[in-house]
Amino acid sequence: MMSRTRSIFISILQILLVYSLTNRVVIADEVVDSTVYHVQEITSGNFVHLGSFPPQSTHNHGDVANIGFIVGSECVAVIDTGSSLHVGSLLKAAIRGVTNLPICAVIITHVHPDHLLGLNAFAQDPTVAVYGHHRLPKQIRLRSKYYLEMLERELGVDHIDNHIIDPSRITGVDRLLTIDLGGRVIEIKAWDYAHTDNDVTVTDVTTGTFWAGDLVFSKHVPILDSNVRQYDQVLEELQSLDIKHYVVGHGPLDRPWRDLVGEQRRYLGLLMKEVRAAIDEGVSLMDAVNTIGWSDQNRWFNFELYHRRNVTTTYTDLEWED
Amino acid sequence: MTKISVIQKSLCFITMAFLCVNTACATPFPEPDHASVPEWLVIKNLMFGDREIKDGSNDVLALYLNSKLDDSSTVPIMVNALMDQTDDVFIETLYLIIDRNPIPTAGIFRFHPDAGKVKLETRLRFEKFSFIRAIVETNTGELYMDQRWVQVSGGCSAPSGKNADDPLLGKMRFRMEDQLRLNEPNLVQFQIKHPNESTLASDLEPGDSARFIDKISVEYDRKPIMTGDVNFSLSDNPIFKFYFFPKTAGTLSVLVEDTHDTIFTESMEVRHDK
Repeated sequence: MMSRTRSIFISILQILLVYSLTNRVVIADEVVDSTVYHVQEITSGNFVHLGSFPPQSTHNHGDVANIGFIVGSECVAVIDTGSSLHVGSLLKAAIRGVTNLPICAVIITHVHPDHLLGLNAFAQDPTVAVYGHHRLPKQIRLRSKYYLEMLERELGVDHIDNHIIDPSRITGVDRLLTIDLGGRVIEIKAWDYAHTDNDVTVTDVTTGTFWAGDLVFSKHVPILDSNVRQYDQVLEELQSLDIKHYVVGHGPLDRPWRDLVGEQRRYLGLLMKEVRAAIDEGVSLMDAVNTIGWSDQNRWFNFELYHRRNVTTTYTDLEWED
Repeated sequence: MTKISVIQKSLCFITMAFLCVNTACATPFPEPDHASVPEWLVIKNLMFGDREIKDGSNDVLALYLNSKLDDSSTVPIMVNALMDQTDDVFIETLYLIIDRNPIPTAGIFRFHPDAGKVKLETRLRFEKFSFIRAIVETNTGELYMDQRWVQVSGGCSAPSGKNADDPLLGKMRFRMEDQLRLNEPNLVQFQIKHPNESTLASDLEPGDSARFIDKISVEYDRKPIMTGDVNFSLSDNPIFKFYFFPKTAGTLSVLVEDTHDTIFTESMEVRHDK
């Protein structure tokens, strides 16, 4: 009897232990085992990891953005760092699987956490320069607390303190900045109000590969976190560029550049047209989010999740038009 | 033996509690009983003491929000009175309360009985999952409530990014539907460009204070229509939609004050042949 009680006692203890450790064990395994984390070389020296579609969850461990790196003859530039230290560490391990050259630069395309919060996997090394839009440090100061809470809530990350980003680490880009990785020059361009108010893109001049960040998505519904009219002007400029090879922030990279930008502009155009009509007719924002643009519902991934917010952003801007 | 059994029981209990907590994380947060939310009990006691607050959702007021919300910094809400404003009984005050916002009293609006029907549309920020309550107080001192459970968060601490350094601060605009109708309630929307900074979100230097709108008052031909004591629970660039009751052509005027002591005024000539 005594021994039976004891064995029940022990098995409950085991269940508890396994249960509380499961998530951590899986994550720890993946950090060590970088073979589950694929990067592909889309053009010479340009390596991309294709993330799952957002939103981040414990199922995808926050691996929800397309991130990667460019290898020169002297050093490596990283473009975006993923949602967490976990994702950042996976990317770092993948880089080590390709080259032993030092990492000299990390470029953060914009403030959103799925691109930003893996930064400390790289930034702890003081020789690594971190580049971003000149408005990025301010946005980091404004949003950090909120993003860290999301990390805790949505990804179950215990040690959010490790993820705190030091905004003073960022070298701000005003317009255009070039970096030489050794035999390979990359250009960082800062845009004005677009997807956010702090977007930069990266061009590998050698191969012409264009890293668009979240200015352009593929198959995933665009997300508006700034000004819709100015965003469309930026997209008009991007559409005119003759780009053969590209990386976008989310979604597959298998279609012509102009098709991607074109369908995104068509969506923004639909939003603006229908929102203007609604405002003219006195349709309130409360009703507009449920009626405007829903003809596009089946064209996009995650439409249900982000479209209403896009309507809100568009409406609250256009209601001030003269 | 007894000792082990007790340990065993308590371990079972801990295991079950642990599993429940983890399951709860995976499912949407369930709507609590609105009457027993701890924050509400404190607010209720502070604002209304032991006065009775009746359910007003059948015949006094209706609070509307969309069921699917995804922008916690811009949640449109609408309160409609279901009772008419008569000389004997009329709604004097509308309280908008968000239990778990930094300042739970999102707005206190006073309606003049001459203003016609009571209605208010505006947009609010939600910092945490919370109930929003619309409570009206009649001239006879009775309190009625309608409430909704809202599941969005971060509205006060996450900046919108939409209006950074807006050069149009203080720009104001009226919108009226249809043609003016004399001797009946007419809907009008007033909106003002203002960041309405939250004390939680603003990138303030030490010593600076958040700049948000704290007062609005509306008059028609110098007679009060509606006044509001508000704060950063309202979204940036706030809007207010309400009724006024014109008996003749006249002037609709609005005065807005913010916490940096700036006063904004705007008026609109309302003509019958508009």
